[in-house]
Amino acid sequence: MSALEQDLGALPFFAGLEPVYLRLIAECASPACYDPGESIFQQGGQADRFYIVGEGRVALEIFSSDRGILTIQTLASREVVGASWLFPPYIWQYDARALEFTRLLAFNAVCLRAACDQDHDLGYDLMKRFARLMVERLNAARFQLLDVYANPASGR
Amino acid sequence: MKCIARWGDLRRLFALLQSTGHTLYGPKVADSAVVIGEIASPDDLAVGWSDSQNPGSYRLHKDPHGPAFVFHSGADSWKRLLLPPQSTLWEADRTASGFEVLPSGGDSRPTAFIGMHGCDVTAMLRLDHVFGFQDDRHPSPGSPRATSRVTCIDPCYASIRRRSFVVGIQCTGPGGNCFCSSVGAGPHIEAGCDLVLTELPDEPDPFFHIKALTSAGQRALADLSLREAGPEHDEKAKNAVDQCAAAMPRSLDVSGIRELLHRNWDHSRWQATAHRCLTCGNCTMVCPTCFCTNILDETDLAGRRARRLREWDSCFSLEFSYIHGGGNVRSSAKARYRHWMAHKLAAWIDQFGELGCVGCGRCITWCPAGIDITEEAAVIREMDGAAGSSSEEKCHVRS
Repeated sequence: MSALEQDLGALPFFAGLEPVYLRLIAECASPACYDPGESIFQQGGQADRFYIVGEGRVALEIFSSDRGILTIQTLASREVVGASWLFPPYIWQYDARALEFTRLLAFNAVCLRAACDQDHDLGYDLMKRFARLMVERLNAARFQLLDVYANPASGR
Repeated sequence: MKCIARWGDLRRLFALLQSTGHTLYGPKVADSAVVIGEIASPDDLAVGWSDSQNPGSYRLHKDPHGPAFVFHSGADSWKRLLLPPQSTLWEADRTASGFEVLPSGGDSRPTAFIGMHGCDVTAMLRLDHVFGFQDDRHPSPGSPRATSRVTCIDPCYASIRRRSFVVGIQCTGPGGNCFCSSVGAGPHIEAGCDLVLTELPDEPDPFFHIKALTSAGQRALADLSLREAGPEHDEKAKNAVDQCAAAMPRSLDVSGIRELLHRNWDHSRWQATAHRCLTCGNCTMVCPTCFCTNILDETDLAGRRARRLREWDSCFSLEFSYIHGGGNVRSSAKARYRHWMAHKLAAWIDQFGELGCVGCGRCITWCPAGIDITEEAAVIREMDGAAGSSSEEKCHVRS
């Protein structure tokens, strides 16, 4: 098992993944580094990758015509960036920008999608992991909407 | 018709124009810079004043031993007169039954613009195409698109242009930020002026070659009874301007520039330049072709009189790209700088079939960060299609 496969296996996101799949995913990975402020991907672009943050921080942003750029989430080390690669039409829904020098592992989604189509066990496993991630993010977004830190009804 | 003239003849030309009611404007020295202002005689021009220009820097200095006309583009352009910073489009008074539009109080006096360099003459011709003005006194070569597409003529601009007598000066030495020859906008003047002046070099006293390009120019030369120029004067004048063209310190390669900028809309250079750009809008204010304006409606406090104003605007201000209903389509400095430069060098071609840049170098000189449009275009050309170093290469550099 290569060092990269070991590192991937140690990530919570890939915990318990079969070694054969770890090898396959590692083969689709390449390093990617971004300077502070640099765009990683843009809303509307082809979602042909997903990322795991090594060091640094990544802001997921959305452009609102009347409020400018809004940060909807900030992701740090060991967190996954991007799920749009999994579902047609494979288009990014947000912008992603490096907030500081950021080192990522970039996974080639085209290669992974083909592997998932070939081997449905891999596809099902990855789908479960990403579905869980998306539910976590959805819940986080709902809590943000509930404004848990200051209840508007209390007037404070 | 070509003649030669001494300094005294220029004084007579000024007097002739004044006798026919012209108000004279030309480049003169004020506030340590060459600016366009009202003048009464050739002695009011920036005679003997030269300048050192670099990105973000301008210094005026007197050269008593050199030629008379050695000044270059200054802090101001003729746009100040052709498209005033603020003008009233119309005014109306409230009446018992509604309102009454007041008769236009616009100036109707003839003007003479004296001392327009080649780049600025080209800039004026570009503005003619923007504002739909076609000069029936001396048809200038129209832009490929503009001549066939004029659907609307700006009456304020046309009124100023129709009343103007233009005397151009062909440069015989370039300024530090000049690049007009590379964009085909100077220093030679072939159209757009009534008279074209060229100072002949190596003369103990100022000595000029004057060429009439229009019937109005020919009449003026005939009224002054000047000595006709010989072939040796024509050649000397041509050589002096050719030498100036060859000595330009900067150049902008415009081959395929429209396609180059359109396909590099996401080039890494835009972001790098945005880090330097203060979005102050100086470049748009000093640019002789930037024509964007804002419209303001205002009423007096009593509600008796209303007027509609037009004033200079800049695509570098956030308000400029604020869209009705709320929202800004160019919120980043990167988007605004890219919009400005790509309009000058690419979208202007889409609109008018010609470049929006005339190579005067003012945007380079008056940019507080010293951003140089020729350098920006060259870097994008050099790294055509490159988004800078790839994200993978960056990791190798850091590790």
